[in-house]
Amino acid sequence: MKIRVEENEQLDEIEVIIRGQIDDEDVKEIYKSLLYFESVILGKINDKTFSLSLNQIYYFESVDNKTFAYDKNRVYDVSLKLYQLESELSNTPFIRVNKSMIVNTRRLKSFKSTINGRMEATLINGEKIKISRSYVPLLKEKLGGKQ
Amino acid sequence: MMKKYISIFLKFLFFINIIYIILAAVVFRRLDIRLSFVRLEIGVLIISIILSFATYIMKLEKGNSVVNVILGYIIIIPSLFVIRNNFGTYLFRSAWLIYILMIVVGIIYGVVLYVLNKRYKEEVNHLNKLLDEKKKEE
Repeated sequence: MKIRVEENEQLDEIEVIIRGQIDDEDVKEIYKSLLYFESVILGKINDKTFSLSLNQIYYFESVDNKTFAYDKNRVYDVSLKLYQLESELSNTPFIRVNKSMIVNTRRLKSFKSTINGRMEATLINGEKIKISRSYVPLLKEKLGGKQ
Repeated sequence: MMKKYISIFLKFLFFINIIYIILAAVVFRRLDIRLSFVRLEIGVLIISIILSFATYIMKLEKGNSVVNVILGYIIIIPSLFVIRNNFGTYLFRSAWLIYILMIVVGIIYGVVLYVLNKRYKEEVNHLNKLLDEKKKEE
């Protein structure tokens, strides 16, 4: 793979061109990674709207029919439902891990299992989230393992 | 929550019914005694409720997991007394047999937990390995 950066002071925003065969797995992975950095979600705190980059979000959680996005320090109200987010974020590192949460796999630190079969994941900020067993096969696939 | 509990309850109801049919058949063949169907079915219902509640408590995501597991075992114990009440001396010739059964159930419970835990631990190790590999790539 050749990586080249062309400096162009006339451009207002970054333009990325991926050259390669469209069926190539590496090309698809690079495209997904760029999508992850490029996409934004709108979140609200006290009627103030913020443009959230997917890269800064740790996880989404649905509580009482409302969806919230959590970054390192703050919690944002998101207008989309969890199933809508799941669909939109299918080509990103985000994955559903239980009935009410979608987590950013790039913010995962480790996994742990308890004596009664419960599984939980620790995020890089120390927060713990529950992983439902039914979502483990998809989680493995997302992390690059086979189902 | 109720949906999950009812699903576990129905599975136990099915299997306990089969076990009771076999036990009643054994008692009839060996001692030529017909046990009351209504009494047996009430026993099946009570045992199914107890076992499904024990399973629900054991698998609960809230609270300390070790405490949940111990509570699960303690909740199972009354079901043995229900079996003794239904089959009496036809199956339980001596009083101490029920205590032997408690120990046997405890051992089976422990073995099942150990086997499941080992499997879950392997799964967790695999996930942690995938996570480490992903981090190295980045």
